[in-house]
Amino acid sequence: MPRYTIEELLQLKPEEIQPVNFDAVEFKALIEKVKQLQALREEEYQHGHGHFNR
Amino acid sequence: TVLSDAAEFEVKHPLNTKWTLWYTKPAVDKSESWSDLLRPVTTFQTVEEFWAVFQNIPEPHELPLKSDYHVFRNDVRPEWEDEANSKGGKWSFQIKAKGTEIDELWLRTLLAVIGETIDEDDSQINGVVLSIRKGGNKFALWTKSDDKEPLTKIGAKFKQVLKIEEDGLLEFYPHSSANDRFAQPTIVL
Ligand SMILES: [Zn+2]
Ligand SMILES: [Zn+2]
Repeated sequence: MPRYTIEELLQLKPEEIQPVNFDAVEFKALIEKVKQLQALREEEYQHGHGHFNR
Repeated sequence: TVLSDAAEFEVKHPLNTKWTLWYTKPAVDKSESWSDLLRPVTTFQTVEEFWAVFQNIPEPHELPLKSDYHVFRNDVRPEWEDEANSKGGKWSFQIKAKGTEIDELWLRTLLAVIGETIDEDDSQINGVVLSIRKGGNKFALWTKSDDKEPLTKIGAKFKQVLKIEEDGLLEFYPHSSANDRFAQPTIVL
């Protein structure tokens, strides 16, 4: 069975970013979108809270 | 020679099995069901393919809250209902580290899992999960069984990988108690 230590695997890490067989750009965009929506929700929540406290 | 250099360049280093990267997207609206949220992203079966995937996805510190990365062997789904998981459980560790420190520990965990050095007998590991949560990020190592002896060895290795020195921070929960809010760990290291 192939077995590699952490150090061996680190040595096999390429310097340059290699291409992949899935849409990494789309995946990153999805994550960015979720982060933006979460930030927006958080902002709305803070805003709503301000009113209650007044 | 140029030829043998070129040949060496083409050689890929096979992993023991194929692995699938899954992502749990945080819900952003109520219409989204679990099957919309948990999705396979890609697979890899060589060291080279692993690095390509790893370099092209956001690092843990870049993920939104309530995200999970799961890396599971072959076609095992990262759910306790999956046949391969049903008799097993998970070693769980809540991590205090933040930012790039989590990135490094997650990478070390992945390398120990796909390189098969965390389980010397190669009989227990189904996958590994990173959960990004407000109350603290969590690492979990999912196993095929809940047998104390092999799991204790794996847990000890997992602590080395995570560079944990204190006692009592790593907890094993069998999936059979997954629905029990008050479940206690069956092994603590
Ligand atoms: Zn206002
Ligand atoms: Zn970064």
